[in-house]
Amino acid sequence: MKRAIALTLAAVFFLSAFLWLPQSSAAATQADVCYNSWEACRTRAFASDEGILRTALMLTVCDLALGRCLLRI
Amino acid sequence: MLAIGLGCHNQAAVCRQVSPLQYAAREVRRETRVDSRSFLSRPVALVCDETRVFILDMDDDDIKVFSRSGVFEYTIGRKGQGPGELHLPSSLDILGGRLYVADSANRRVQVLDTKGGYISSFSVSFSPQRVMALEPDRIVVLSLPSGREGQEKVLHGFDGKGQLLWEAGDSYFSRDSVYDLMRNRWFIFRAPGGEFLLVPGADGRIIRRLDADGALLGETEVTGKYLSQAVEIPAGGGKKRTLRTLCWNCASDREKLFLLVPERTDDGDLGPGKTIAVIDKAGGLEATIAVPERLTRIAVDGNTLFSIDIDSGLRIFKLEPR
Repeated sequence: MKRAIALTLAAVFFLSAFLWLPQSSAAATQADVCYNSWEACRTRAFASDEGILRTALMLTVCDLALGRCLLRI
Repeated sequence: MLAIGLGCHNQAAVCRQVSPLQYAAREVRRETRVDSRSFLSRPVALVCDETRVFILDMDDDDIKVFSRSGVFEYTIGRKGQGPGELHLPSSLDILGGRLYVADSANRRVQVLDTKGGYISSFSVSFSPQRVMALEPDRIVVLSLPSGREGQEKVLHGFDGKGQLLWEAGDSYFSRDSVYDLMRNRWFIFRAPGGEFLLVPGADGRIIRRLDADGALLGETEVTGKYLSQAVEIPAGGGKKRTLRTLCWNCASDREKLFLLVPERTDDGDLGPGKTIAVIDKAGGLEATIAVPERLTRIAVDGNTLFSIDIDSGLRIFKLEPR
């Protein structure tokens, strides 16, 4: 009986893990996409010659876009 | 602080009497040919060798090559992830007939020949901001700090195969990602003896000299005669933080630094300017150069100034004492 319970629990655990892992992996991938876009945004803003204040504004927009992207995950 | 050089700082009584030289920049009339490929979208770096000027275009993901008299010759690279292809390139260096490109979005450094032939590349674990080759087997890469994990190292030394050899220099970190990034604007230049200079773009007037292993050899303070410009950047909670800029862009030639002085714009911002300050190796203000247009990027070779103006045009000047 104990063995059956242990096996059932183990099965539930691994099944849960397999069901959860792809989701977390997809979320991690999506987060990577967000951060990659953020870095590209910052690189563009940083290389701009629009003036310090405008560059700061562009960088702020990059941060806001990152926040929105991460919230969608 | 270990001061390098024994220039005007240590002979202040004598040198303070000497006014900096003034140079005029006489524009070289460029031969122009109608060629759409020569149009610069977002030039972010330029370097030159004995025969050509190479301009890195971030938006077009390529390098546009001109003669030293400004005639467009050919293009290197295109957008992509393969060998010789670029994505958001951010920095360019040239040494011994090889171009070193910080291929930012691809997170790698590519080495190309001056005709565009692919030589090699190596991956990096960060977004590269600037690249400089001390020799083919010693490449220094400056990273754009993300701040995701707090303070980061900003200088990374690699061998020619991309093996990480050392890391140095801590990024400025205050949990304000915008302000921090502005504070982490640095420039790197080769110096004699396999050494290199680390020049701050903002908040500091200390120029550091490092060896090929990233060890600090000395520091030089740019003279107080050179006035840095300050701007208030909005921070969280309605507060403002002061950013003091040293240069918009800078170049190095024959052991002198050429700092492009930021200038106030009509709307109160601080942007590219029309003055270049020549700083000697002791940090003294040796000369100033007045140019007719606001410039965003500069490269100097002897008495020739290659530059990009605010309309993304290549401008070439001859420097002449007034």
